[in-house]
Amino acid sequence: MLALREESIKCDGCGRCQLACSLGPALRVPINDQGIPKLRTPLLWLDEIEGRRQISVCRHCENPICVDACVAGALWVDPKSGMVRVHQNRCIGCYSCVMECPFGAVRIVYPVEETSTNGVVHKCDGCIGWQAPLCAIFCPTGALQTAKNAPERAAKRRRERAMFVSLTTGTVRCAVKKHG
Amino acid sequence: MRLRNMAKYVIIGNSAAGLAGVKAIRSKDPCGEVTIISDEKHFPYSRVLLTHYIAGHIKIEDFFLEDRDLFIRLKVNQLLGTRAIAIHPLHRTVELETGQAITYETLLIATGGLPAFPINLPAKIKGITGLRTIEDAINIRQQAMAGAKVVIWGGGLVGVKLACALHEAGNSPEMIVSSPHLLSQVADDEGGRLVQQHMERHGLRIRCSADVVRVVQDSAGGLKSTILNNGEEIPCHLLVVCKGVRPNTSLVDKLLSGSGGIPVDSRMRTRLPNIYAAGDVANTYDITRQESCSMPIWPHAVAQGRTAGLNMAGEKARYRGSLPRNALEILGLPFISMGIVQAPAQEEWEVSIHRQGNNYQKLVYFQGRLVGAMLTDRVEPAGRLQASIRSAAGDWFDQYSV
Repeated sequence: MLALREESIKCDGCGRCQLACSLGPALRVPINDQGIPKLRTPLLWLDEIEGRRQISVCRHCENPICVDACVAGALWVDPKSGMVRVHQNRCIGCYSCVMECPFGAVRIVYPVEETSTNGVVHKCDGCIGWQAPLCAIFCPTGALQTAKNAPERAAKRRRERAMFVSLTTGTVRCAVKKHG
Repeated sequence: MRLRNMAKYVIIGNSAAGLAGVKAIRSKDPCGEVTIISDEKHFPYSRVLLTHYIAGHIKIEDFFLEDRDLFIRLKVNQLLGTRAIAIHPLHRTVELETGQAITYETLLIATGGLPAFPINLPAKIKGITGLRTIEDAINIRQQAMAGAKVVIWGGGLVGVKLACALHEAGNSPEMIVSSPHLLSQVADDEGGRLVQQHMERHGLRIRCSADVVRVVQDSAGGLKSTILNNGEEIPCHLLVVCKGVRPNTSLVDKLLSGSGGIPVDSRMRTRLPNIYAAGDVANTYDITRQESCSMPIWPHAVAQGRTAGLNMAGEKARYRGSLPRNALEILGLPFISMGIVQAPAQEEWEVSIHRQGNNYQKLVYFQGRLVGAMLTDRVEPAGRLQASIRSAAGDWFDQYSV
C-alpha cells in the first residue's frame, strides 16, 4: 500500500474521506438478494480544535505508542506491512490508547444497536487489499494524499517517532532539534 | 549490536517492566545470557485486566501478555516462583531463597509494587485482601459470585474499577472512601463528585469521608463486619483494601536509602553500578511536577523497562519522562486525567473549565503552559492534550540527575 500524507490546512471539511472509509469494505461484499450491505463506522475523524480543523487519522508510527499502552494485547504491529492493527475481540475498551495517541486517531466506539456490550477500539486499518488508501483517493482538496516516495515516508515516520515515541536516542534527539 | 562474550543480564520481576526489559535486551543482544527471576510462578500477565476478569469481560487465559513460548524463543532462563532475597553489589550476585547465587553483569530491578495495607488492620485474617495478583482476583470473583457481601476500602482507581466490576458481575459492593470525594489523587472535587453521582445512579453505595477503624471476626475466624470511624458497623464477608500501592523495595532497602521508590536517572540507572530499576519500584522524573517520584502506571512501566533494557545492552537510550495519567471506563462513562488537576489558588495558575451534563473538561495551566487535563464523557482530545503537555515541558534531561 501507499503511505498516507495529511495536511489539515487544506481540508474544507467535506467529509468524503469518512464516506469512502466506511464504504470500502462494503464494496468488496458480493451483492445478493439481501440488498445493500451495512456501512461500517469510518475509521478517521474530522475534529475542530482551537478553531483549526484537524483530520484525525492513524500514521502507523514506527514505534507506536498506542501499542505500548495497550494492556489487553488488542493493538499490534503487523510485521509484514508495518501497519498498526486491531484485534477487536481482545479490546476491553479501557481508553488507554485514546489517552496516548498524539494524533487523536484511536477512538472507542460503542455499538449502536447492542447497548449492553462494551465499546471497542476503532482506528485506520490501512486499506489492506486496496492499491491506495481510499480516503486519499476521494479527497478533493489534497488534504489527504498518497505518498509514492517510500524514503520520504520513512523519513516522516522517523520524525514522528522522534517526537512522540517513549524513548529517544541521542542521534534521534539531534534530528528533532534540526527539524525545529 | 555489541559482540561481548557472555554478557550476563539478570532481571528481577516478570511484569510489564521486566518483560519490556527482556525484549529490549534481546533486540540488541541476541547472544547474552538473560535470566528472569520472579516470585510469581505465572507468565507475565496484565494486572490492569484483573478487574475486567472479575467483571466477567475476559477469561483467565486472556490475562497473559505474550504466548507461552516467548521466553523459550528469546532464550531466557526462567526462575519463576523463586524469590530473590538479597543483592550483593560487591560480588555482583543475586541471592535466591533457595540459597543459590546468580551472577550478573547488569541487573534490572523490576519488582513492582505491593498493595499498601493500613497498619490498624490485623495481618492475615481470612476475608481481608488486596487486589494485585491473579490469585486475589480469582478469590474475589469466587466469593462475589457466591453472594458474599463485599466492602471496598479506598476510592482510588483500583477501588472504583473493582466496584464497577463487582456491580457488573451482579454483586452490590459498598465503598468506604476516606477522602471527601472519589479518585482524590487523580480528579478534582467536581470531577470526583460527577463520577460518584454516576456510580450512585447505577445503584452503588459510596460513603465518603469515612474510614475503617477495626474489623470484627466471627467465631469461625472469618470476617463478620467492619467498624467505621463514626461507630457504624457494616456487615461484610470480604474486605478489599484498595489504598494504593507502595514500591516493593525490600531487596534494596539497605543499599539505597530514599523515600518511596528507587531513584533512577533518565537512563534508568540507580546509584549502584550496573544496577537499573524500572516500573512501579522506580522513582522517575515527573515532567509536570518537576520532581522525582514513584508513579505506578502501565505505560510508564513499559517505557521504563524498555529504556533500561536498551541501556543494559549497551545502547544510549533515554526515558521521555513520566506524566501521571489514567484512563478509566466507569460503567459507560469514560474518564481520563493527566498531570496536575488541582491547581493551587495562586496567581501563576490558571484553570479553564467546560461543563455540560456528564461532559466535564478541565485544563490546568502553570505560568501559561499546560500541565494538566481532566476529561469525562468526551475524551477524544486526550491524546493531543498529552502531546501538548509534553511539548510544553520541553527537555528535562540536562537539569536532572539522581
